[in-house]
Amino acid sequence: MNNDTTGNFLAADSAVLFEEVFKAHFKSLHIYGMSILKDETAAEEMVQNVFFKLWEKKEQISVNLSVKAYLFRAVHNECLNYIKHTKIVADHRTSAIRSSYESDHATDPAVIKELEKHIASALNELPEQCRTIFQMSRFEDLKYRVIASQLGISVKTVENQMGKALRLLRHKLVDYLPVLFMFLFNLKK
Amino acid sequence: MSVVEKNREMSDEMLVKYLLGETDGPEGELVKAWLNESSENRKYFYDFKMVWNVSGKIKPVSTINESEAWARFQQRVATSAAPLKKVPVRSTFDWIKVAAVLVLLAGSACIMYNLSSSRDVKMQPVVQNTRNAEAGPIPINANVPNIKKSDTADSDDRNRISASSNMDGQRPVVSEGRLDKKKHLKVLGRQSKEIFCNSTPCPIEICINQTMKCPNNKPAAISSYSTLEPDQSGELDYKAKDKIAKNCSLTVKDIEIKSVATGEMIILNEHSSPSTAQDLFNYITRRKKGDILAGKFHKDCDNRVSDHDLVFESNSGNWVLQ
Repeated sequence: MNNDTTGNFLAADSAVLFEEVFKAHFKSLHIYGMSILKDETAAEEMVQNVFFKLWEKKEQISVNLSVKAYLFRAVHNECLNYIKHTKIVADHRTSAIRSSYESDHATDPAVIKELEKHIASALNELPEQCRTIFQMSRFEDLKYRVIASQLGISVKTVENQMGKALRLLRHKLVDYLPVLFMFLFNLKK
Repeated sequence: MSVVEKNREMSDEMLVKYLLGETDGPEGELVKAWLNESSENRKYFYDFKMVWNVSGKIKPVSTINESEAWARFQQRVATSAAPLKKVPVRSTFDWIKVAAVLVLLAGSACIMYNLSSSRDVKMQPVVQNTRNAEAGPIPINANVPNIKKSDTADSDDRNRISASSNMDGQRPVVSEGRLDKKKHLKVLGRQSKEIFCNSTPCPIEICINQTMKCPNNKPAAISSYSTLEPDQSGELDYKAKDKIAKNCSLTVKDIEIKSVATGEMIILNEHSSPSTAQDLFNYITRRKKGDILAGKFHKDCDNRVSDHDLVFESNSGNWVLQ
């Protein structure tokens, strides 16, 4: 499924292929939506909406993007629209979603929680492509060449976007980084 | 921006590559050398490392199963019945073609109907009903956007009809509401029939669901099932408009065409495309002449994925797969 383009996938006009695409990408799209909305149910709704719209338009649209790039972008836009309409502020819901996150906190939970909160909000400010690539690398543990292949872009672009993502995240978190630095040494002890 | 950031010669891209183990040998050496240059450089790199490590902790955990999500998606598609883009129906009112079709019709296509015993070619009553209102979402095999999940009452009606179908043209009438069945039977008269041929390689089952409305009565549902084997001719049951009582109106609610071999079902209703149930009905009853695209089967008779258009040719009365 890695190299499928959206164009081919839509032209095929097959319920079977649609199901394959749905199941192949659902999880990572759902995780992507959750990272934006911090709400498992709402995130699924967004992913469902994206696939539903795709289904409805499948005979009419033609996109020269990879399936994954198209879907990630669509979920991103769907989530942002949802936020706009429901005025959800991610931070207000942090406590509610905490339980659905991994809670393997090796050290001072208060410090880490604070950092997670800031990093989650910094992630929300990354440009769409930059964020998608970062999350594919971070949350799906994909190598650069796999990300490039799945999104139909060059490895060089992935390198650039990853550099940009870390630079932007670091910049947003610069006030907390001394804490991070201390934390690092604490870990080493 | 710090002094470190201004003066450093190492790119962020390269540092991140190194952090993620994406650098090759020489690039790695370059980064190591740069890290050894100063503690500021190391601090800058460790910042990246920390951002990376902590961001890993906020990975959301999705507890939703893909298959369950897919089932929900199917259900949503099935219940939406959203009108789709209209595909123009081929109009083939062409005398030469009509003549050719008539020759074919007389000479070959329905020959089996004449040669075989009438019992063999006659409508088979439906022996089973694959629609179960309590079995969850309808399996989506063909023409998903056209599929509209029927409500429980519908399915129940169909079960009752199919269980008690007979071959003499009289079909039990199922009332919607609490109407006296006998009264309805009287109003409805008898079923009408059209000869048609199944020229597809698969057995097909056609169910025409109509609604009858008469003054002072609640609407009544009338369903007629017809099943034909490949290359078999027979009568297609439905309720004809000219046989209904005065002041009553008859509308086609939906038409279901099932490929018996694969279970795929094309369902036409008032919203379906490329043809609505009424469109198809007009061709079946020869009120309109020509070919009409009923829908698409996505599998062949052996259940292999293969798209075919199901077309009804009203001139010859043939169902054909294209």
